Amino acid sequence: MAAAAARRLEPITALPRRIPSPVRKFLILTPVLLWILALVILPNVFLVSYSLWKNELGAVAHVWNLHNYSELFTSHVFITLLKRTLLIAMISTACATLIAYPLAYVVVTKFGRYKTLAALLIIIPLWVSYLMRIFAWKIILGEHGVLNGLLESVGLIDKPSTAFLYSTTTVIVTLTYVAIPYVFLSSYTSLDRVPRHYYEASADCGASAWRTFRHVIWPLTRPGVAIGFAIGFVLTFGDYVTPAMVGGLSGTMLGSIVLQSFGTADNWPQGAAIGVTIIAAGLLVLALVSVFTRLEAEID
Amino acid sequence: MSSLTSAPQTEPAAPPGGDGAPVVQLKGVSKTYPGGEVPAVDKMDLTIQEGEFFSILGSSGSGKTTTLRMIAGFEQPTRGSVVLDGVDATGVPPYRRDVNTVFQNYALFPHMKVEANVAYPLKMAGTPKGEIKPRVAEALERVSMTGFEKRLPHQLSGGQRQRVALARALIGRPRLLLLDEPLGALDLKLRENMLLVLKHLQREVGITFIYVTHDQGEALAMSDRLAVMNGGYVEQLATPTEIYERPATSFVAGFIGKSNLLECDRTASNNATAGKMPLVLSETPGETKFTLSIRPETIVVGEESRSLANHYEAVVGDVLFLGHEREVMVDCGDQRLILRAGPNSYSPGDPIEFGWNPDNAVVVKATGSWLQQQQDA
Repeated sequence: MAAAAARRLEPITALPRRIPSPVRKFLILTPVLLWILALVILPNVFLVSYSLWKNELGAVAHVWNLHNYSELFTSHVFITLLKRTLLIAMISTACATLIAYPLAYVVVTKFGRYKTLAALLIIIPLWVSYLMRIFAWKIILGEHGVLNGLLESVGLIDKPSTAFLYSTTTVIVTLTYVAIPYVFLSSYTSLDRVPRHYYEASADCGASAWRTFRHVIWPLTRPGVAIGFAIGFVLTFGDYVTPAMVGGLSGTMLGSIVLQSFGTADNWPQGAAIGVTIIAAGLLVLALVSVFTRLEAEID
Repeated sequence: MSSLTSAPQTEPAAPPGGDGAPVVQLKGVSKTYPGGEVPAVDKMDLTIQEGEFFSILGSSGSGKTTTLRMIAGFEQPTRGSVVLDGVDATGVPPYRRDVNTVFQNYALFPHMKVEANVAYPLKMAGTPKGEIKPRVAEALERVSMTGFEKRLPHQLSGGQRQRVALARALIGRPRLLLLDEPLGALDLKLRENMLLVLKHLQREVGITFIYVTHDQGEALAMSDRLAVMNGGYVEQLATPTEIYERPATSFVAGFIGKSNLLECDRTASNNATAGKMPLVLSETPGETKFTLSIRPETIVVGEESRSLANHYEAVVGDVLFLGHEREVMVDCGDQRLILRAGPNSYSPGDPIEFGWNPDNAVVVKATGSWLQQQQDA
């Protein structure tokens, strides 16, 4: 009997199971892999390769070397520009975050059913051409611009000032403006995901609005803010349009010399080396930011 | 403030529906939500005593949760005032009220471990660090969750989260604990278990509980007193026994348990007819047309019913087998009644005789008028 029962049980372990074969898995993944290969991996391989090749009077010599990099990092101009670009991108993204996150907090917590409309109004500038938006700042800050006109009519200044345009500050102001919608979008999404009852439960436990924010809302939305910051940073760090239009000489950033290297200077390997440096810096910031995207679960 | 541990010594045993100081008083409270035309809660008066286990029972949209949210401070009444501990608390924000809530969806903070969640109210109250740890341990022990301190909420089951939420709500030793359908998301077995936990806990800590539910079984089992709400009004406020045995309105009679509701016309001081059914009454109804409520289990089936003042012979319509008993629907004249047949088995079409003592039939008012009458009085 026992043997018969055992035999009857046997087929269960031998039931045909549908194991997805490696080939099947691969077929499903193919479109994604092709996409990544064509649009992410190949371009970057080219970029890195160019940065390791040699420039000979405008022509690219396929000789592998680190010359481009050693030249860059011994160049006083490049180091200055790198520092300045890092500083400008950091400050403007930080300013954008300081504006966009509280804005998103107010929109989510106070606007009720109009919050989607409010959010839409804040990100609508993204629909206007980038160039137009930067040009608008030129009109605002220029010598015969809106700001000068206003200050003059109020009587704060006697004659139009040229101080507002073509400086590091101008670039920071403009890039802050550029980064705001992105940081806002990311902050808004993460704040909107915090359910109403967390606010209520915290208030119920005796926490004021500020302490609810500090102990519950901020820890839960910090990853979203960090991602928004990262997007803003990457956008501003590599930008060349804004410095070119409102930056002047003291507002020049790394992006501008990438443009020069690939354009007028016709030195592709060097442009590629700067490009790689920009990407590396961006990745470094993303790595730092990812530390903040982790949800903490602590008690002190 | 009473202590969780020393509650039995420092506080007298909670008198069921006792006459201590009122913990909560609602005075003419109405709430109309912005954009809403019908008030969610209308002219509500309510007094809840110290140490009471008070339930608010109603279907969804009856205004029970709105009432609770006004006591907690999450909603402000459109009119009227909320008095907590004798002090008018209308307009006081939730975090300044000595009230804690157990939310229906637990609302545990997902980024905090169990111990941090439970310690949160103490941290907010500025309790010394050294005191927090033992009190967290004690609160977790009270809800049998010792050993789960380092878990995150998402690593717990529904019942466990519910217990942690309970521990968090109780650790601050509030004067008043509000429970908003706390067992709604749990399965039946767990719910029964948690009912006992809650009831036991309330007796132990002596804190006033206000328990909102749509489950009449929960409300009857747990409460010292309960309010049945419908359409923003309190239909009846009484002890569970009274509500079950003497429902004030046809809504209460129908909502709590099963009941036969007969539309009657008075023919003499103690006689009436329901359609073609003649009835003997124990009381003289105030109006010529009224509704009579008779609980199925008070109806006697079989030969014993012959001696009763109301005795009828009819034909069995449908029979429902419910496990512990059979429910028989009979057509008597033009009325359809539900009876409990006990162990006797009947089949559709069988003749059946039944009857009831006039004392067991209760004259109930039309829905909503109970409150009107209370206000007029």
